Amino acid sequence: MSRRWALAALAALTLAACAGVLGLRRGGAPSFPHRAHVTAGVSCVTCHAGVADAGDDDPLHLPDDAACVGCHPRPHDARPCLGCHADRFAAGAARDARAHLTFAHRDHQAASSGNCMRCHQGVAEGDARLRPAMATCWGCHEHDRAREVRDCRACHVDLAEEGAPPPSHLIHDGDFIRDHGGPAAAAADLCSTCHGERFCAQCHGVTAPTIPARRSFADPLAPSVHRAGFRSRHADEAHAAPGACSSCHQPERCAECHLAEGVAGRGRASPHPPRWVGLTAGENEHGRAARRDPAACASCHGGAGEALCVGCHRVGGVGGNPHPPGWRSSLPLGAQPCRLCHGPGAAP
Amino acid sequence: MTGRRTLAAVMLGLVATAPAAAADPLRLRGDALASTASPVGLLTLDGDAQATSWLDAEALVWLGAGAGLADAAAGGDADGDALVIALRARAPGGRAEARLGRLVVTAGALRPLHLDGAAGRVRLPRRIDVEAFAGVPVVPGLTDRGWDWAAGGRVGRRLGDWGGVGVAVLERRDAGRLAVREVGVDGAGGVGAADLTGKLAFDTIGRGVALAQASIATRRGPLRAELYGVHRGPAHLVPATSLFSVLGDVAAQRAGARATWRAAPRLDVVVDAGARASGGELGEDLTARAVLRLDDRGRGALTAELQRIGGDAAAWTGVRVAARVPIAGAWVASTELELVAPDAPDGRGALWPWALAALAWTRGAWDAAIAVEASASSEHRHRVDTLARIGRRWELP
Repeated sequence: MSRRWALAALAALTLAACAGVLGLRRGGAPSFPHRAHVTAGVSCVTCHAGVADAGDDDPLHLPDDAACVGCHPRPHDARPCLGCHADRFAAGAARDARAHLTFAHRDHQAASSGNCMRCHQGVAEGDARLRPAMATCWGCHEHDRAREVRDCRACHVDLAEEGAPPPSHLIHDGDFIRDHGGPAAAAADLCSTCHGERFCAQCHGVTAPTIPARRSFADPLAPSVHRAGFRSRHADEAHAAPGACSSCHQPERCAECHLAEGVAGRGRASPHPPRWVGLTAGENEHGRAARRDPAACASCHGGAGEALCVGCHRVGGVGGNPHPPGWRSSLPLGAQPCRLCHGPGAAP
Repeated sequence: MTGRRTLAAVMLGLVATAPAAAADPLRLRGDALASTASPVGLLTLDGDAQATSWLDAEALVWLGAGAGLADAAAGGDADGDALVIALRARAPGGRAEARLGRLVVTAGALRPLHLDGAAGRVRLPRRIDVEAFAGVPVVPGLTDRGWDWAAGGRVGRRLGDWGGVGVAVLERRDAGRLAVREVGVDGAGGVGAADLTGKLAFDTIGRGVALAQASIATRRGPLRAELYGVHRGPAHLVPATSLFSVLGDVAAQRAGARATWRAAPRLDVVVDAGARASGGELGEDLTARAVLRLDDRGRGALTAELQRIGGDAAAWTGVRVAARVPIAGAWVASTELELVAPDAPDGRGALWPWALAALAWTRGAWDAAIAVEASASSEHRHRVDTLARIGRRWELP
């Protein structure tokens, strides 16, 4: 029997621990009991004295210990009341809202008839919902014109500095790396309400000094396409997703880095396997590989190195026609790169 | 090199003198990164300020040492450059906007471009936007390139509060030669409970689809589900000025489904299953990831990820675990471990381990971090590097 009780106790402890870890049971300080105070007949301004007349620059009117002891004259210890009887992040969140929003309580008294709950609808559900949702503001303020021209400054002092995560419909909840291109291109002005030029340029800028993952090396949870041991596997990743690299990198990037790192260039051993180039079809693996991943070839043989290809594949040469069936181009034969093979005097 | 340093100093001076008429504070941030791996030293300075209600500016410049910095010219000799120097002006009422300087431009379905130039947007009646840009494509190292330019634009119509539909064009010339000419259509918006995005870029040189991408997503409570597909044509592999563009009939496709589930208030689970094809080669593309936040604010978190990339020649399987744990006050410890096993080692080693342990510190305007990184791969039998970074923010005045 005692063993059964011990197992049950262990299971209960495990479940409780899991519930705490997963956030199913909220730990830490409880929320301030707003509901209990209201049902006891304590009005909001009893504790938040002066808030009804507060302007944008006035103090926050968060209650201090003196406000509490007015009704609770015998505190059970000397620590600040809200240190234990409220979410310790709530005051910080209120200060953030004060710093980043243009808002005056006094301007909302008439519209709300002095009823705080008109806007602070979730206050009874916990300190995490002290700040009204933006949808609550839009219940009265339509801001149609401001939304139309993406001007958020009527309320938000500085969205970029505020760092407020946007609602889920703004593409930040999916695979941002893959998804952001479409919406960003269709509504770049919306993105720019929070993100400056630097945000885009840190990946898409050809003069970015290093990859973002290198600068934020101490945050392993930051999203990045170059996380962890990317350097080791980059050739395989590039091969598996042709064209993905050129979303951010210039085509010359491969060759420049390979030359700088000494993995390509004069005097280097050929990385190609046997039967790479030959006279028979079975000895010509390079053709299939080049068609499969032309960017890989260009990483070493681009620019002046193209002469290596032209030596065999020019019109009349032994290399044959490198174009696939149905090849089309609007370039004239006299333009680059056509004229390399189709030069003056060559058959079209 | 002296010229580059002089230019960098001028850039810093421009940023520093901007606040004279600033309505909002000038924000500056400086970071210094040192590492035993390249880049061995890197100093970045970025700042932004709003001079008036209609004019703001931002810049990021850097000085560095070591190979592999930026898309450097052959030889890796870049030791300083500007990533962004941009002025943005808005017309009263927000009906028009212009940007000038070094900036990133996007136009609908077309690829983003880093330009030294100008971009503008005008809002017309009936929610129609007209965008245009032109400039010289940025090249690293502050070198001159003749006859290089790019220009394009987009006409779009906004739908609801976000997204829209549009048509865009882009032409780019390298050394006077036509490198890219594309026409694109794009669209994004919410239809009922679904978010739809799609774009299509057509390469008018090779007369084929350069890029096609579409996705549809919906969410129900803690679950978000998405279907997506991407097609990349040869025009997005190499520019038309490259001889290798004449090979181009090989396109790459990727399609799949992704589900994101908030299984518990602190636990997110992501599963992404798809397939990719290129040149007749078909492979699976699978990712499963779980993120457990250690507190309600997510300051501490654990993550585990399993990834499988299939295919004939470049298949690999990898697992990654990482943790970020606040340890005391301003200190945060983090660690990351990755193991990758290629299907075809080909003499590159059967397992590529990579690990990092870091310690970060933040207090007021200062933050700093140090880390030790160790790895083994085809390039190095074993390698250990150290990294250190320190940064500071200023608000002036």
